Amino acid sequence: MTGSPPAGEAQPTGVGGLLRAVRAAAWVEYKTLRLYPANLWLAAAQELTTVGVWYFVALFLSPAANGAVARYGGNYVAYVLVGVLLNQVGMAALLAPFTTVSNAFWDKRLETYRLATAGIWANLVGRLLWQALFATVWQGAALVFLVATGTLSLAHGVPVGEAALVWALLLASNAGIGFMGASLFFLLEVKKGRDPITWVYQYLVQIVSGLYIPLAVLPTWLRAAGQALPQTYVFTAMRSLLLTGARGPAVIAQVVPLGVESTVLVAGGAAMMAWALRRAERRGGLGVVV
Amino acid sequence: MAVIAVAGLAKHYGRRRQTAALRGVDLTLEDGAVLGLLGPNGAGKTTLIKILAGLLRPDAGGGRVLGFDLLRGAREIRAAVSLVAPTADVGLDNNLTVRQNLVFWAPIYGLYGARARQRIDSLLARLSLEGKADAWPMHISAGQRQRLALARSLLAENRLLFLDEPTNKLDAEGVRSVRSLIAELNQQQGTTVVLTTHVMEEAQELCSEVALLHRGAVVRHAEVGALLRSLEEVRPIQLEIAARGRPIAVPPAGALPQAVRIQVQTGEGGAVSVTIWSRDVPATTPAVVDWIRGAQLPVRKMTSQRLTLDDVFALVHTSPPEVGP
Repeated sequence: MTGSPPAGEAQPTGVGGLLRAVRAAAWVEYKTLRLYPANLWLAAAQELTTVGVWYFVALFLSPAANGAVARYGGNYVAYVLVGVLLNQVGMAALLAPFTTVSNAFWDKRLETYRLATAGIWANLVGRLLWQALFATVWQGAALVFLVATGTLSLAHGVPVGEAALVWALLLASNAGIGFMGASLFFLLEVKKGRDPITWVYQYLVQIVSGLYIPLAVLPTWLRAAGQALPQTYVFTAMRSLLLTGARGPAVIAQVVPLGVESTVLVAGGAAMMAWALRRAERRGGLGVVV
Repeated sequence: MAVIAVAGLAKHYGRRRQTAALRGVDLTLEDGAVLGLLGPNGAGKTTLIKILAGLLRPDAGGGRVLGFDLLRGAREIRAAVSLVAPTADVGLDNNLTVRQNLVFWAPIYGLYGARARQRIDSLLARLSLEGKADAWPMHISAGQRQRLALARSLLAENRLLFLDEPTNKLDAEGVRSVRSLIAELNQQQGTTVVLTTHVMEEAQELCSEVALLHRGAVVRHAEVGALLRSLEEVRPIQLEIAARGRPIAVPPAGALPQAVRIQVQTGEGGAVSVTIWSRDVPATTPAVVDWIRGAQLPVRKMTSQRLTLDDVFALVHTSPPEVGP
């Protein structure tokens, strides 16, 4: 065996090292899925049910609602389905951090992760990326299915780059909120179930972000509340891109505030999570037992 | 060079800090030593180890571990030490095989490619897990899971290794292989080891020095041989008395020449065990015999023997020490 390296050099840091560790965490999620392939079928069934239910609800409401979504082509079914698919991706990024911290804590692995230079963050980011990628693949497959069956018509020449940017900002902003929620695992000792931040956010999205209810229908004060949610900008931007082929100023008007919000939320989420971990170190809260 | 040099470490738990886990611990450990941390449950061993490993912040005190400041350099300390907790085997991923568990952790600890594969193969061989490399953790024994947890902690080849009851769940073969590995790591690689154990034989076999913890304080820290030699003058005189419910009036230690403490334990069937700790057994024995005759005690057996760490542990942890260097 080789001799031990000097202290502090035992674990190479840097972006490359972090990325490898992130990949390792995502790999574990992949191996778990391979081990339990039934989860793939469950995910498919869940996707089919969610899309199916909202398709028929939107279809039922469309005669009365089409007029309220004229800005997006006047098709309420398409309006709702695009929102539902995007929100599924957002929710995956939103919920992953708390679930990851909770699982690592109760599996008694959190302290072991903490010993590695980037252990906890690599675990958090790696599993978040896997969940987001998994959700994106499913929603992408659903979108292809809906377009192929004529259920959903997309505009010609959808700008893929701008759509990808909006998708990335959706993930980033929701991940930032997710990290804020995950920090409550230590800050407020929320040890099971859901953290209050993501729980409140999830329900706000359903009411004031334009997910199901067109913003034009909402009273002014609710519309104002919706301006604080990243999903509001994501839905508006992506519907404009996919359903009307809009580009340029119409999309920039959504992307800029979304970008600012995403930056603030990611920084805020990371800061809160870092604070929570330091506090857990002071109070002995990283381990299940002292 | 001291790999651990800390002083005044204190830690309290609870919202009002009502539970004192550590009360002013001073500890210095030289490079290449094997330190045994001994103490009963609740003495503060795990808390001390977590503080030294950078996982827990002390409420008071400070110092250096591997040259890094304990308070400001916790991140660097964590990267440079390895730790195996008693529940480490529970933290294995049951969705990965034995080998895959190590494959997952290797890049977390900065090991990649061929170096990672060689290291994993080496650890599996040294911890007798080669035959179980493709098994699932829930299908191997608790001892094998403990050895896998140890293998995981050794991936990083760190200079300082903390082992919290490493042979806790192991069978005889597992105990031998782990003790052999610890000795090899220390003697061949110069790894400094801090281990907690309740098995005195293990501390005597593996450790170059021991620190005895009692109620959050280090009450004795010395080389094993020196500790035993310094306390050899204190030896137990043990009496087994068939009391059968009869009350026994035990004299105070001060009434017997050179006696420092007297412990009384009641056993099954009304048998009473009296241990008289004495600095000079030949001087104390006549007084003990006079007491037995005067009280007409039905003594079954009277013995005196050399001290082991078990006796040192029992002597120190049940009351503040009254003897020793």
